[in-house]
Amino acid sequence: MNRLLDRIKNLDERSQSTAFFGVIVAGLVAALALGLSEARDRPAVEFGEERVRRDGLVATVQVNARNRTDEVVCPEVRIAARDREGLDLEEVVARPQEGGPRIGPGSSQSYVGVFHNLSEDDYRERLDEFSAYVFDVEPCP
Amino acid sequence: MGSAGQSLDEEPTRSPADERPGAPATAVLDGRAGSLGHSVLAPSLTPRPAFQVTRRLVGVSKYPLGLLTAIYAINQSHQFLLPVLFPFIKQEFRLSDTALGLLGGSYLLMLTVGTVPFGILADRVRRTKVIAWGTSAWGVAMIYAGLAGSYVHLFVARTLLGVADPADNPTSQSLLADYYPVNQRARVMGIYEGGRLLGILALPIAGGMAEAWGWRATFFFFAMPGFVVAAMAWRLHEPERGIQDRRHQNLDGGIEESGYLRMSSWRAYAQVLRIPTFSVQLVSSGLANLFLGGVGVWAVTFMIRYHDVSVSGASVAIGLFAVGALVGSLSAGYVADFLTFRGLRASRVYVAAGGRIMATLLFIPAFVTGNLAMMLVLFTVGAAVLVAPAPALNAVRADVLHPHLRGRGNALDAVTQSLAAAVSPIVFGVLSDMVTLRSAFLVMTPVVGLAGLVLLLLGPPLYARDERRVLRAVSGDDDVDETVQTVSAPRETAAARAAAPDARSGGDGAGEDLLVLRDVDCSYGPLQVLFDVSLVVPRGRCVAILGPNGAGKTTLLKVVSGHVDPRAGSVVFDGRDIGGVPPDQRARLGITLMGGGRSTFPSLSVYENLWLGAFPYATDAARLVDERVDAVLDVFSALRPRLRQAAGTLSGGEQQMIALGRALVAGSELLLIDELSMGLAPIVTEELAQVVPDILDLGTTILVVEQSVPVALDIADEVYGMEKGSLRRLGTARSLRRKGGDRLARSLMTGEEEPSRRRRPPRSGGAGRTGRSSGSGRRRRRPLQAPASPRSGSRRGRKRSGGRGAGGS
Repeated sequence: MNRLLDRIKNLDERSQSTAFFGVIVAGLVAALALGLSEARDRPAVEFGEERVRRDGLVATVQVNARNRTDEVVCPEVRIAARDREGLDLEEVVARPQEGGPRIGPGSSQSYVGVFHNLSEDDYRERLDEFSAYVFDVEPCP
Repeated sequence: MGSAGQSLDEEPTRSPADERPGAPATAVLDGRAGSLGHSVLAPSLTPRPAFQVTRRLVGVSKYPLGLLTAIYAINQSHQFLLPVLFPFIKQEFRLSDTALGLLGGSYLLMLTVGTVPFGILADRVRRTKVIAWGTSAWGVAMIYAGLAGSYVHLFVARTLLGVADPADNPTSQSLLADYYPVNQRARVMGIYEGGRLLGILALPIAGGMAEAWGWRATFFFFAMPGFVVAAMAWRLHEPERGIQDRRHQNLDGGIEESGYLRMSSWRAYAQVLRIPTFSVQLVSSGLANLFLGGVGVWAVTFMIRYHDVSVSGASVAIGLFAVGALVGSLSAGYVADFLTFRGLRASRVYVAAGGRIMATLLFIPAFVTGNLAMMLVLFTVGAAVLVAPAPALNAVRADVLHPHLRGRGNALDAVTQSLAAAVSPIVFGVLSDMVTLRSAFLVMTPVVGLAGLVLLLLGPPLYARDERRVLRAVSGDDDVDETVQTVSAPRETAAARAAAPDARSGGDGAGEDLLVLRDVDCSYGPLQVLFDVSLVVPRGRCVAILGPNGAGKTTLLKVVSGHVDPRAGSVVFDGRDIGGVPPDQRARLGITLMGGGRSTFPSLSVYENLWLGAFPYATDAARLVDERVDAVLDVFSALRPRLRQAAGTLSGGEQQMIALGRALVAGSELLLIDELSMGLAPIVTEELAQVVPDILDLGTTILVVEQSVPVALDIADEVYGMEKGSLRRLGTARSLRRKGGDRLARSLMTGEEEPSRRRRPPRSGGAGRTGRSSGSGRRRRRPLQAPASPRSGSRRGRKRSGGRGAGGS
C-alpha cells in the first residue's frame, strides 16, 4: 500500500492534471450527449393517467395507451402495483378494453388490469401507485 | 489636507536638530499648540457604518465549505435517485425484487470495503485530489449505469458508486478540520452534514426527469454536476494538515511529519481505535444508527398503521422530518461552538450526548400518543435533536484525532454507521413480527438514549484528555506527560474576581463595563501564557496592567485586539462576545491597538500614517478624515511641519505621537496601548502621558500595559498586576499612590528592580509630575460625550498651569 502511495505521489503534477481534466471533459461531453440523445428518444407508446376503481380487495385499473409512431403496434401492456420503494406488490397483464391489441399510428387504446392479490395491509401501508408499462411489443397478427 | 496648517505641497520645514532620529523630544513637545477637546475626535462622533460581525479568521473563505457540501449532496443524491428509477429499470430488464435488492446490497458492501482504503488515502496523499478523483469516478459510474445494457452492468455500476462515495466523506471532514478554525469546527460540520439532507432534493428532480426522458437520461444528467464539482475540487487549495490545530495555539504552519505516517496503514487504524474518546463516540454512533436506520425505513409504515395516514401523506411528513433534521444539523454546530466560546471545553460532547438523550425523551411520547399532530411535532423536533450529534461528533473526532489519523478515523466511523443503519431495519422488522411495530419503536428508542448516556458519562473526561494530547502533539510537544494538566487558578476565584464590585470602576460604580474578559487561557504552542485571566474595564476609564517582561501583558492586549485567539474564555466588548471576530472587524467596532515600540509605518509619510487611522470607517469621507487629522495636528503640532516626511525618520517620541494620533483619528472606543514608555526618555513619556486624560475626556476607554510603575500610576484609574500569566487587581491608582505609590506596586509585582531610567525620586504626596495629576483632583469625570467646546477641558487648564511650559500657542 505504501509503495503504491509513493508512486501516486511521484506522478508529476502536469501528468495528473492532464489525465484528470481529460476524464472531466470526456465525462461532461459524454454525459451531455448521451443525456440529450436519450431525452429525444421518446417511447413508442405513451400512457395517460391511471384510473383506479376499488371493490373490496379487488382493484381495477384502466389506462389509456397512445401510439406515437407512424406504424401499427401491438404492445403487451402490464400494470404494476408498487410500494414506496418502487418494488412490485402485484403485477398484472392488462387487456385492451375494446377490440384487439392493435394501435394505429397516432391512435389510442384503453387497457384494463384487475388486481386480486393485494391485501388490506398492502392497500393501507404499502401501496404507493399503479403504473402501466409496455412489457413487449409483439408483431401484430 | 484642507484646513491643515500647512499644505502638503509646501516643503516641510525642519531644523537641523530635528533631522536626527531621536531628536530631543522636548523640542517637539514644546511645540504643542492645541488641545484634544476637539469634538470631531470623539468616538461618539466617529461614523461606524453598520456591518455584519462574522466570527472567522481573516482569509478564511466559505468557498471550500460550500463546494465540499455541494459534493456531499451530489454524491448522496444517487441514494435517493435509485429507488425512484427502480420501476423503470425493473421494467426494462424484467428484474425481480430480489435482484433490485441486491443492487442496494452491492452498494453497501463496497461502501464498507472501499471506505477503509480511502481513509488511508485521506491521511497520506493530497486530499483535494482524492475528492476530485473520487467524484469524477462517481460521474463515470453514473454514466456507466445509464449505459447499462444488462443487469450485470448495472450491478457493476452500482458497485463502483459504492467505491467512489467513500472517497468524499472521510476526506472532506479531514479537509474541513484544516480549512476552518478549531473554534468553528462544529458549525462547519453542521453545514457540511446539511449536504446529506440536501441530497434528498434529488428525489423529486429524478422522478420528473425519469418520467419525461427515461431512467438512462436521468443517470446521464445527474452525472454532469459531478464532473463540474470534481473539476472545482481539483483546484481547491490543500491546507497543511494540522494547520488549524497549530493556529489554535498561535503557531504557524502545519505538520509535515509524525510517527503515524511511518507506521503501517493498518497499525494506524488500530491506533485510532485505541483513542478512548474515539472509541466511545464510535460505540455511541453505532447504537444511535441502530435506531436511526430502522426509523428511516419504518416511520412511514408507523404513521400509516397507527395514525391512518395515506402513503402520500406520510411521505410529506417524512419531508417535514428532513427539514427538522436540517435545522437540527445546522443549529447544533452553532450551539456547540457557542458553548465552546463560553469556556465549556467539552461542549461538543455534551451537545451530542444531550441531543441523543433529548431525542429519546421526545420519541417515546411521539410513538405512544394517538394524536397525529402531537406525534408530528414531537417527531419533527426529535428528528432535529437526533441529527444534532452528527456535526458535534464530527468536530469531536477532529479534536481528538491527530491530523494524520483523521481520514482513517472518519472512515471507521462511516463504516460503523453504515453497518448499523443497514442492520437496523431488519431488527425493527423482526421485533415488529414478534410483537407490534409500535413495540419495536418503543424497544429501540432507548438505544438512542443509551448512546447518549455512554457519551455523557464517558465522553467529557476522555475528551479533555485526548484533546490536550492532540494539541500537544501538533505543537511538537509530544513528550509532555499526558497526565500533567495546565496549572491554573481556580475558575471560581477568577470569575468571582471579574464579577466583584470592587473590580469595577474603582468601586464607585460609575459607567458600564466596556470590556469584560472571563477566564481567558492563551497559549503559544505548548507554552501557556495566560491563565484564567478575568478583567473588567469600565467605560471611560483607564486601566493599567503592570508586569515584568514575559508576564503576558502584550498577549492579553492581542487577545482583545483579535491578533491572538484564546484557547478558552470569553472576550466581551460593549456587551457583545467578540470571540473569533477577526482583528479588522474589531477595529471597525472601535478597538485600536497601539503596538509597543515605534508603532508606525516607517516608509509612509506622517500624513499617510495618520490617515490610516481612518481605515475602520472611511473610504469615501476624505473631508471627514482630513478634519480629524487636522484636529490631531492641533494637539501634536510638532507633527504638522513633518507631514510629508517618512515616519521612520522621526524621533521615537514623535513616532509615538503618530501612533497616538492615528488612534485618535480612528475615534477608538477602546484604545489598547502597549507600553507608552517603551524606549522613550522619561521626559518624553511624561509629555505623552499628559495627553491620556484628554483622550479619556473624549469618551475613549484605555487599557494600557506598562512596565513603568510611575507611568501606570500616573495615567490609570485602576491598576492590575500581571505575573506569569495571572492577573490580579492591585487597587485604584489613587489608593496605591496613597499607600506608597510605585514602591508598593513594585513590591506587589515580581520584586524585580525597575530599570534605572525609570527610577526617579518619589514625588511628594505621590503626586504626578504635574499638578493636574495629583490626588483625587487629577480626574474630573465628564459625560462620555465629547465636550461641546473644543478647548473647554478642565484638565487642559491644569496641564497648562502645572506643566512644563507647554504653553505653545
